[in-house]
Amino acid sequence: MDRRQMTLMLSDKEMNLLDQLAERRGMSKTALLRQALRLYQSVTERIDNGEKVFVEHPATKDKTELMVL
Amino acid sequence: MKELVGAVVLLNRMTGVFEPAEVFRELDHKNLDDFERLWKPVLKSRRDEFPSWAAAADANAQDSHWEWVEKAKDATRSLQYETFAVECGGETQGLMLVDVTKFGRVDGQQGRELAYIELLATAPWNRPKFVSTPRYKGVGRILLGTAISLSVELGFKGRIGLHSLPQSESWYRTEAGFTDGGYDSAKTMQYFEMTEAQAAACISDH
Repeated sequence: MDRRQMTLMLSDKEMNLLDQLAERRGMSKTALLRQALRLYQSVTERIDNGEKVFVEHPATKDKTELMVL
Repeated sequence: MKELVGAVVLLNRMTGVFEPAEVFRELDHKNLDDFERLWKPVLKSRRDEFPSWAAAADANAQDSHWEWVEKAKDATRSLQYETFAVECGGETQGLMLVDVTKFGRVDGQQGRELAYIELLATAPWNRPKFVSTPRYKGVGRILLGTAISLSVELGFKGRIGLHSLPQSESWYRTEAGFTDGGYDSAKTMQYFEMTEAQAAACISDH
């Protein structure tokens, strides 16, 4: 698979979050960022197709629609 | 672009000889042409012999409606999907479509990333219930191993999931070593998931 390189500058806050999420998900930072890109594309396409993406509270079953601007 | 993932062998049941085969990532025109020209007509013909999808399952022809060409086209423009093909003897012997944006459901890995096998099929001439003398053995297991490798590559540690057609449920449960995730009423199919440990065992066993 062809690969292209880019340099990503992150703030301390962003890098700390990336560190935390990578550790919590058991993934490398690179793998986590790639997965974030896949999920972002998936959500964006669903919304573009007229679908709605919800987050449901496990107890109350209240649903919050996820908006992508 | 189509990329060679690795070289494998398939047992030719007719000759008893192992033959060299190749696993590719991303389907190309040849794979889709094989499906349209060699797979689809016989699958559809066999399916038409039965009054229902359930009855067609007994002859391993329940997947005749799968639209691989459309699915493969979607996969080329989306990071959500990966496609794979097994080729041997100059023909496509197996196809797989994997969604890499799904999450685990079973205890111990609920909410964790996994590679979800949306479609997995071996060529009709390799299916025991479809033909009296199936040609190649092991295509499905090679594709499962490929899905596990993909899961590892993406940082998912080998976790995979799938919904099974009725005729394959016992194989996934007892032979491949999946955890039975129960009946999924939304899909009207049984759901199976493989943990990191199960994936490691599956790979090391074969």
